[in-house]
Amino acid sequence: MKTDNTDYEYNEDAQGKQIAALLDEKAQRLSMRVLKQLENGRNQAVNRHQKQQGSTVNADGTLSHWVSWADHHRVAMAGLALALLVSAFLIMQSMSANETSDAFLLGADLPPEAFVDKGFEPALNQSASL
Amino acid sequence: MASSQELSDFLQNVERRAFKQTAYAVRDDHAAMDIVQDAMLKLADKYPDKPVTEYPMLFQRILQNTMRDFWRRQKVRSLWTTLLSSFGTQSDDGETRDPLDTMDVDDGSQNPATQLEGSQTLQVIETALQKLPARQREAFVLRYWEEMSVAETAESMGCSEGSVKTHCSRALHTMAALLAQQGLGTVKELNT
Amino acid sequence: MKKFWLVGSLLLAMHAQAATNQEQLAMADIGAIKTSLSDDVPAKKWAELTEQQRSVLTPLSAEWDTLRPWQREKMLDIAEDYPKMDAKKQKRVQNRLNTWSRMTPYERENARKRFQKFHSLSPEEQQNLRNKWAEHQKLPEQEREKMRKQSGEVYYDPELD
Repeated sequence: MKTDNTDYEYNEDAQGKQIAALLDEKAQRLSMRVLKQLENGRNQAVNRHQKQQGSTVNADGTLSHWVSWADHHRVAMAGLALALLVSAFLIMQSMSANETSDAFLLGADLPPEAFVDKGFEPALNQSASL
Repeated sequence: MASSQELSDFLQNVERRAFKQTAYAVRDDHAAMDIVQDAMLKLADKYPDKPVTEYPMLFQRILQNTMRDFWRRQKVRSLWTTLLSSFGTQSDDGETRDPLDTMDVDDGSQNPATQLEGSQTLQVIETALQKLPARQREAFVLRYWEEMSVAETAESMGCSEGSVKTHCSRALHTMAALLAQQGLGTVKELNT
Repeated sequence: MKKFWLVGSLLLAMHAQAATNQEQLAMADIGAIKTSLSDDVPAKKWAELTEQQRSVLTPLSAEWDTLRPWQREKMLDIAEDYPKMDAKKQKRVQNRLNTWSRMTPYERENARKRFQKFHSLSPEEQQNLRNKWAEHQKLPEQEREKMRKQSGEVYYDPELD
């Protein structure tokens, strides 16, 4: 029946929107590194666009985004400190993680195909830390 | 003709979800960033005369094309692609399926560290999104995440409105099934 | 403010330490976070690589300029670790570079996780797996595909965000 179909479609739409809302929420919580990269990409595109239009580069227009991002001094400093802490942690990790780098993977007794094939020795599928 | 400020505003609005959407599709953050930055430049470079109202659909199309370019240019030979292609790649709705679509994806729901039901739901949804065939995922993202109409989605994807509805329906069924499988009930139930 | 400078100087000290060893981190494709916030290093063309890098990455010379910047960086990480290995391992690396570069990012990520687990095993267990692999390769593809389907998913690490 037509009415039933419409109801069904409506429910589906509602479901779809709810799922998308969850996904969008997560998309707003990106790392500072990723946000900075996106900003760089955006600025490059905008500069290119400005050149195409033949107008003078609006320094304020480009800068304002940076300024709004780091609007509050405290937030910016806290963010920077956090980024430094994360970097420190990762440097520490890297210094101990050398022997499982890609080079050592490729140099191992088993070829990379053995590591790609998750059907071979499924016990390897479990994390080493577990 | 959109102004540079309008372009900047548009990109700032779309960039985060564009990044995540691309990451779900190509399953790699580095590649996703590459693709999104590429797409931003292309939009500015190749369509400087377009009005800002056309940007949403235009940008999505550029993103999809750039993703396809990425796979083609890598000359990637998935060890299983050649195998799968020998079994035929025609999907049941008559559209050619990308063999890479049928690759398994990590099921994040098995992560023992995620105890909170909320984040577990999200993880299952993300896994489902990555597991979907490309066209279903694209339809879902454009229709519900980018909030395009069925007609706009069809135009963007270059298919019929009926196909769009079918893709979306199947995508939602898959997600609902995976959520149910994990005992998480429907999204609707969780939100009440 | 004081705390900030303390952290900052601590980081600088560690960074200097890391720089003398290797600044480059060979990290996973997925969810990788680099030490520097900026990713704007332009991709090096084949001709711009050092002699050492080119000697290690020779198998990739033909396709080098088609690789994306981040892919080239990963390969350069391999070149950096190369001198740390014995001749036998180095030969293997050279032989396997092409296969590695043609895998999908997802396959490489899975391989890294499984290799980490492999690396944590004892030498005897590793040797055991070597024998098992020889046997596994003799199985028909259908059988291997079945095993893939039956196996558990590779352990999922939440993104470090």
